[in-house]
Amino acid sequence: MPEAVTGLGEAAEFYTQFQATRSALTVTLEAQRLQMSQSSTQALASDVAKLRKSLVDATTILTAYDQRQCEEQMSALEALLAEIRASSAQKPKFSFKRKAAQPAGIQPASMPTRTGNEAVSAHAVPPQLLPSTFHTLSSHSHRSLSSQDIPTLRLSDSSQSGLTIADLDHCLVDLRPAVPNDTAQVTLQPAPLTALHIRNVLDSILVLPPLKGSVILHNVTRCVVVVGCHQFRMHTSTDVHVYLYIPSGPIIEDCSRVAFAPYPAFLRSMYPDGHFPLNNTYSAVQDFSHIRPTPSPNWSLLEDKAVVDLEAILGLPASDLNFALPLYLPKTSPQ
Amino acid sequence: MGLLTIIRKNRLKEKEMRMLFLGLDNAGKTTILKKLNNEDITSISPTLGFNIKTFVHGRYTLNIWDVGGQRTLRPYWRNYFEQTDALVWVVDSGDRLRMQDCKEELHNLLQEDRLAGASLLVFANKQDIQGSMTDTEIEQALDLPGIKSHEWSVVSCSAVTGKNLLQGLDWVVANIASRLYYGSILDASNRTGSSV
Repeated sequence: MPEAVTGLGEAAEFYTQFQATRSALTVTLEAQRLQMSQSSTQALASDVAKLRKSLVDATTILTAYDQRQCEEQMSALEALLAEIRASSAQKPKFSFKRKAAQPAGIQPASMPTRTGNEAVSAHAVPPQLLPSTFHTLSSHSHRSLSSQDIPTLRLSDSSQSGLTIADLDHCLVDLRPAVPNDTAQVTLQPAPLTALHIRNVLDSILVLPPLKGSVILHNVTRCVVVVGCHQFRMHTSTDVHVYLYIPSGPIIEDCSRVAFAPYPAFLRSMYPDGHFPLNNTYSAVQDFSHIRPTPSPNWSLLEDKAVVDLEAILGLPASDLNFALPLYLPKTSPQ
Repeated sequence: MGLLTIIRKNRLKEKEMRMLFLGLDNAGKTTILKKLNNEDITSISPTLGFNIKTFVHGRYTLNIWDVGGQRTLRPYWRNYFEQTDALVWVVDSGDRLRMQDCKEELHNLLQEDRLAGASLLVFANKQDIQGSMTDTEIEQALDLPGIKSHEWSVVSCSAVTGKNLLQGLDWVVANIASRLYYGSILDASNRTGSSV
């Protein structure tokens, strides 16, 4: 079927070209939005319109999935342009809330019923009756926090647990297990963490124990993160210093000005015998937003002179926190 | 190398199934595959690109494609849709903050023509971790009952302990077999447990 083959080739070619033009335009538009200059909005608008036209022309050769993807991206681009125009015209800001169009009508005729559950357990219990426990440390500012601030975690007697840390501002989080020389404390030892989800943390220091599982971070700004884990993923974050012990390659995506350093020596005692069980590959960072042979501009290794004495700040009384915190956080240095 | 060999080879080929493992990053797709294959799971790096695993399960040869779930990689999922018998959607059951994202990505995929008719297995992974959502909660959060276009099932599992991984595969293999190899379903059915 030679026609089909050419059709596919054309579609692929269009897709690549569309993506290239779109990402170039997005970058220009974002720059335009931040600078608020009105110099070339007109030219940009015509570029956007051109791209839209090419998409319409390509409708016949694209598969449904690609078409939807392109359509969504195109709308996002147009929304961005509209925002720029609105702000340059001194109108009040607005934002679009895109409603997902759900074409409900078209379904393959071969699958008239869902037989999903019958092979698996019968769900006799209504879902609301069994809510799973959810450990969370969230919505604090200007505070010193420890595992005592997560009541559900303290009560749990299970062997492993996951934790979500969200919406912190100017906090010092110290989740190291309590030192067992405090005789009465031993029985209240919190369950060891095996998974961490971190989101929206600003100007804070997070000192975390070694975890058996993975850590995933979103929207972290001007922070110091100290953690040992199996996998490390960081998204949409800037100005973060990461002190890491990890046996796999850490990854970053949509991040900038991130620096990596090895897990501090004074915390090594949390590992059995004071030794790391495997090699620390904290420096084998992969940047998913920069999949090229050249070195990524978004991360570096932390210079020796920028390494801070974390042991000191952990020893400070909570009242000194507001004063001391800025001294330890990464400096914002626009390049 | 006669006609018989060719027929036999064809017959063997028929028993192949192609599965696609997708899901957000940090869901545990690669860990599940490695665990199923009895490989070391302690030093898995986030997947940049994809992995292919082939192994025999019951009477079938499974070709499993595991594609990275980072946001940057998601646009490339489309390259793997062709000829897919089953979509295995892996969910990090502890990641409440991204459930909405997870649901949208899944429902987006299900509208794809090239995946029409594929069985859908949802692995509610990381059940070994306290604080994870249950399979029932995942079912609600991902709006699985709203899916009318695919036969689906949700199985709670743990890639680290290996719990329920094989049971999940059993369901998906039996489900594909009932569609594709009607004649051989009896052979497969004695492997499928009714309780998971």
